[in-house]
Amino acid sequence: MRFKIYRYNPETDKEPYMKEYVLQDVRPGMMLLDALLLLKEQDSTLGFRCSCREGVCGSDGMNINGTNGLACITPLSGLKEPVEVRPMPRLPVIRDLIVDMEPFYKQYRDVKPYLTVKDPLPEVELKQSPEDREKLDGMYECIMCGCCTTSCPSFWWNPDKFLGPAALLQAARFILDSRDQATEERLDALDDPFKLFRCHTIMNCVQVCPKGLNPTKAINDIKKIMVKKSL
Amino acid sequence: MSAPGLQGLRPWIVQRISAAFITLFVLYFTLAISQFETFDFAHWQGWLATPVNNIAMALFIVAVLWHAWIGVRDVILDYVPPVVLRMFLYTFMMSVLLGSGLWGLRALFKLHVA
Ligand code: SF4
Ligand code: SF4
Ligand code: FES
Repeated sequence: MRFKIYRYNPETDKEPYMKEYVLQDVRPGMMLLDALLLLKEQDSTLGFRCSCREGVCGSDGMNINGTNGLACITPLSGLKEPVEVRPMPRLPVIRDLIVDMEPFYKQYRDVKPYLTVKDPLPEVELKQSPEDREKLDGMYECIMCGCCTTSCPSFWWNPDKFLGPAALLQAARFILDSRDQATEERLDALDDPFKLFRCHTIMNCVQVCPKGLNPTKAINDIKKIMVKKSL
Repeated sequence: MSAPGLQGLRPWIVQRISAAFITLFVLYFTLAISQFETFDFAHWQGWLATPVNNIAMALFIVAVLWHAWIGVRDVILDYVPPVVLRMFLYTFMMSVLLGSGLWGLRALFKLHVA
């Protein structure tokens, strides 16, 4: 099987280039990550991240034949040859397929992704009814892989000001949490021309999320809540 | 702050409300002119001179321009990062839109007085 992989080492290369690889022993059921690991035996300079190899850690997000996804759960059988693998778009490249996730994590920190409670805390725990807990389904499962945000055109145009689908999904997760008491502040913080309202419902984020989550819906839910509050 | 005075939620709401009004007005307008026996300037002027149509048309002009402003503003926010160029484009677009709006409203008002 043929591969074309983005290579760039800022210390030695003047420019990024695409390097061709051929893998002989492709077995049925192999994922792209298995192939990358075998290619790394051929060429130990190839850099990429991975850890869990089963789609739970979110470390091997990359651009595969033009679409973002996790290498570990992308079957080779579904890929057109040569398989073109690039780093996720619009994040600084550290080396080869390894990108600097800091801008992405900064967006996450910006939405204050933790429960804020102003009342005195109860002795044991903050309770939540099963129905209220259900409202968080489809949001808490995010593994922070960055596939959605780096596929979003609004993020490409304003990476430093638009918060991106992943962080906005988490903003919604805390706005909709029955136990959180900073809803008002969270909504006010998002009422600005960039942070939330650069989303134009392009839905690239929904298309690529390996966990099947729907950031577009979360973003629209935030808008709806804002409208209700402003009436 | 790279975009002083610009908001998030309000323009988004205005964009939706103006879109709804534009759609309704276009429907009403199409229906109205399809009822004309002959389509000439006198008919058209007469139709526009009735207070309801005159006000509806004035609101329509305002809605179209406001809608256009938010749309243009969005495009500039997306694609024009340099602040100075951004400010220039805002001012330019604002003048064009305001100018055509005032011109349109003046025509309507003159019609009404006459
Ligand atoms: S729906 Fe919004 S957040 Fe998702 S890709 Fe489109 S613009 Fe980006
Ligand atoms: S929403 Fe999906 S694509 Fe985006 S970071 Fe979370 S798991 Fe990854
Ligand atoms: S290696 Fe953990 S998600 Fe792919």
